[in-house]
Amino acid sequence: MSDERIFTQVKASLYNFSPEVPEAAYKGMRRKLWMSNFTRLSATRFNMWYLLLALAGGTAVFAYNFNESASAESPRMNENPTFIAVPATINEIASENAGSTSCSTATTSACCSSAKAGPSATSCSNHHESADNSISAQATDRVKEEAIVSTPVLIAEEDQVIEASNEGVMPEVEVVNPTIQQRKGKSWPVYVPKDREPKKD
Amino acid sequence: MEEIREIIDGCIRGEKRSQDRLYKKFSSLLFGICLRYTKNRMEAQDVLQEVFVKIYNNIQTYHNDGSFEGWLRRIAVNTSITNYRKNLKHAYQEDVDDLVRMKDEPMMVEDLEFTAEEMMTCIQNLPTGYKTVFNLYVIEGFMHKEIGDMLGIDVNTSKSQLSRAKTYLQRELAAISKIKMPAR
Repeated sequence: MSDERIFTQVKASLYNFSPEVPEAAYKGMRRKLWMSNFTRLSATRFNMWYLLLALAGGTAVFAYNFNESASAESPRMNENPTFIAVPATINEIASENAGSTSCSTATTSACCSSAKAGPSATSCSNHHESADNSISAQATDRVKEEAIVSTPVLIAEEDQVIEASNEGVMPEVEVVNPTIQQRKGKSWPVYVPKDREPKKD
Repeated sequence: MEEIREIIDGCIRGEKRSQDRLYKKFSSLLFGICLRYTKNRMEAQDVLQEVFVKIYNNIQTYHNDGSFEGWLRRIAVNTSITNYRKNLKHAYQEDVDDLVRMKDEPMMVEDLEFTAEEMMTCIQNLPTGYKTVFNLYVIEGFMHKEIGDMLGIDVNTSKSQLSRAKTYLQRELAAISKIKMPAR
């Protein structure tokens, strides 16, 4: 069989060869056509790009609103100077040790200095007690300083404290959740579980 | 002719009814083309779907300057060539396998008439590279230079692939004729 005959016969047989098309081909074609239209950039019909644009816009608006509300909810964290810390329990300790203050001043008295110089202990026993008190007062001061940092505190606004001191009555103070501490230089608080010691900087 | 124009206008407007009419009218013919360039019916179905997606998306670019059927055929052939290029990485292995088989002497084919299905089976069994060149040269009527440009191969490669395809096809047809002979 010559080349020409083969080619002619093949061409005659296959040029208009039209086999039956499976049903599944139509469904697949419709699906591909929909996908093609959906992914194609077109201004006249709904497609992926409109959806992406809407999603991006929605996300931007949500993020903006979220930031706005977050900053509105936590103004106090950024305004530390308007608040003062009043360690109430330590104040009580300090008031109990009020005598020690006088005692510490007493240590500078002539009597006490003369006692340091060498007089009999019995003649100045009161002053020696006062000297002991002055040592405990210094220790109390240290405890007080540490307590301001580490213990739960009662916070009142400065004006309220001043007014209260004028009136002689302490105002009702707001109790801050002891499990939340403000981080230095950060704008949001850190949650510290109650069963764990607060971290000291 | 009037019917075709009506279908085209409907497809340009994006009417589903016109798209379905176009599919019914030409899907068989285009499926036949896709079958010639692919290995099996499943692959041919995939190519056919892509062909129709291209037709619907680009039908507004068809102007009445030529046969509409010719335009559709050209889209089917181009899509099949694109599919062939996608699967090029598998072509080398097939060619090596084929070289081993080509050592056999081609058999003479008796003057037998072969059905379209038999011809299609023989062509589908050709290695992908041979099949593509054979289809483009023998059935679509392209020159070797055009085939070389389309497939990105040398003119001489196109010629040699056509020659091997012919030998391969003769062997396949001879095998079929052997089966047919006792029936005569």
